[in-house]
Amino acid sequence: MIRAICYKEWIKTRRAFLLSAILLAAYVAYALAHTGSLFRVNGAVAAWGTTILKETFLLPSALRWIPLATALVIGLAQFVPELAERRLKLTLHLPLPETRVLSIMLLHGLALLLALHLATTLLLWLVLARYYPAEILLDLGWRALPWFAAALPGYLFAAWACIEPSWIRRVTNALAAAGALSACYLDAPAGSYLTFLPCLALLVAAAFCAPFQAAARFKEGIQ
Amino acid sequence: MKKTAHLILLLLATALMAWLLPLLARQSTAAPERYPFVYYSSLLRELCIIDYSDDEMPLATLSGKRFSEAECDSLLPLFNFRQLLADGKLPDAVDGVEITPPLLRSKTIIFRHNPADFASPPRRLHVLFESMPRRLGLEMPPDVFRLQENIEFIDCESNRVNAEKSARFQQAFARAGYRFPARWTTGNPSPRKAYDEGYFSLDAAGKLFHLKMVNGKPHVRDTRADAVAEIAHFAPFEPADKRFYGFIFGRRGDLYILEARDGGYHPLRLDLDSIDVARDRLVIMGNLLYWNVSVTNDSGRAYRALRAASLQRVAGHFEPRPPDPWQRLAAWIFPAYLTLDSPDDAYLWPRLHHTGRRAWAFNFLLAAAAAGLPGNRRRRSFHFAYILVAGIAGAIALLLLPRLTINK
Repeated sequence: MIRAICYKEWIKTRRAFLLSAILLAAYVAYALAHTGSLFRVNGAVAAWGTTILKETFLLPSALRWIPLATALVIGLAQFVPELAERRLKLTLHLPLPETRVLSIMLLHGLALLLALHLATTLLLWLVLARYYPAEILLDLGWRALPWFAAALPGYLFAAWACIEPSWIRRVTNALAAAGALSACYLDAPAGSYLTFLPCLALLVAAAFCAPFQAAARFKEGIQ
Repeated sequence: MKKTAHLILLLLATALMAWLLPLLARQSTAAPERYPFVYYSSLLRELCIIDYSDDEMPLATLSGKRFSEAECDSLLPLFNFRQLLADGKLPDAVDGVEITPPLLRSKTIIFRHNPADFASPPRRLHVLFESMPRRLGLEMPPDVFRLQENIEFIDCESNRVNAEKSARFQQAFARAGYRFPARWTTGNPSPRKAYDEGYFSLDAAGKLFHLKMVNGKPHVRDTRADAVAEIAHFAPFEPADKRFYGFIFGRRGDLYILEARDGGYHPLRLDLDSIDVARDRLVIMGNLLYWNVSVTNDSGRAYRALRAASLQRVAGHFEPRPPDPWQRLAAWIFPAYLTLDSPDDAYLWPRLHHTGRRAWAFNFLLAAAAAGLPGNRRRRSFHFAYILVAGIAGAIALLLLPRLTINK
């Protein structure tokens, strides 16, 4: 049964997964071209100097939003069809506890996101290690960590808003989600989020509970 | 699961509102700090308040005497020397000391310190300029260095360690008696300055070392400042007259300058009250004869005038913190609230602030109003208790989330 649910989720999300993978691969290619041109035009000394002295972010700034965008794409692809055709009602009546069914669905989406983002991080590291020393790459990692971390609650909140049966509550859910995710987008120097990591973990844990609340309302038939 | 999920979401929404609502309120009530500008007059021999919004009589002494703009320029010749020079009124001597514009310029310093300068993620790579460049101005070197377990120079072009240069500097560190690993290393790496004094690093034994590159060769010296002060931090500063290397912050709140005299390093203590580097903001405006120091914290701002040569105090004044619209609002509406950032450090984590007892009355009124709304008794009791504790943040969180249908 679990394998069947996973297969069903894969059928729904494979196109979104592919689209997200293409988006992330395009970003890595763009980042590589951007870094290459920076080194050719300004030279390595200026590129390193700017990063070290001015603490500027050395990659194109689109990286702030791309992980969250992939999370929303996967979340919407997974849960909009369930709601549009009322399939969720059938899913929640499978001979498995509804908590377990929904957990499998959410874990499937989170696993896809983690796979995509870990692969992107690894690829970026390998590509940039030719140009920059480990310290600069670590700072880059600290800067990007909250943006990648925002993708996990972002996906869970997308599921929350989709499953919620009332339109008004969907809007309030989306607003609350935007407020919570804004904590991952504060302007701060590299490494500032080190002390915020436990809160990010708590945010993911709390966001994981959100779709269950909406599913309970859905099952109760609230309009 | 349904109840647990609802409760967790309620707590999340409450925490979110306890952060976002005060943030919005704070931004809408933001006002500049209204401390007066205080400067020591070398002619009046006392601290004076300068109010630039007063066109007629901008200068006032602490005892209440007021002076016009022209008098202000003349009574503060070391502060207004550029204006006096432009007007052709710069005196030849002040307080018996002969003055010239280049001398005044070289003795003018402005140093600012914020607690977040020290409480922030450390830099792990540093740029070491040539301290005696052949041409005017500093040029970016072709490499950067890391100083932790040892010193390593990394070439920017090849992204590889320059083994020969690293070994040369490593030997210089060993000769100077530096004990690895480094506790911290600090410098002022900017090519836009008149000269470079390199870096200061605290070794594993708590000794402060000076590192710079002179004609491509390593210059590593033990400053022996640890004999005078237990060093907590060092803020490098390169004044135009090259009198000192920077400021030493001691563990007991003592503050020193590290003077460059007779080819050596000599800590000289500033005659100030104890400074809390985690809380106090410090501004030093120095001139040829006197240094004006202001130390600001939650209680107010302390002004001190020190004699420039000895750094001994000649005058002092304290201004209590002026009323802040945000603090007044918070005291009535938010008994407790969250912030993620702080002016005292660069790290992000939730900090709970408590404003006082008055706002609990507001919570009680809000809770009583919520309890008066229609609904079953159990729900109203819960809302009353929750809003009483969580205040307006809790009330909005309850509104944001759908009602929990307990009986189904």
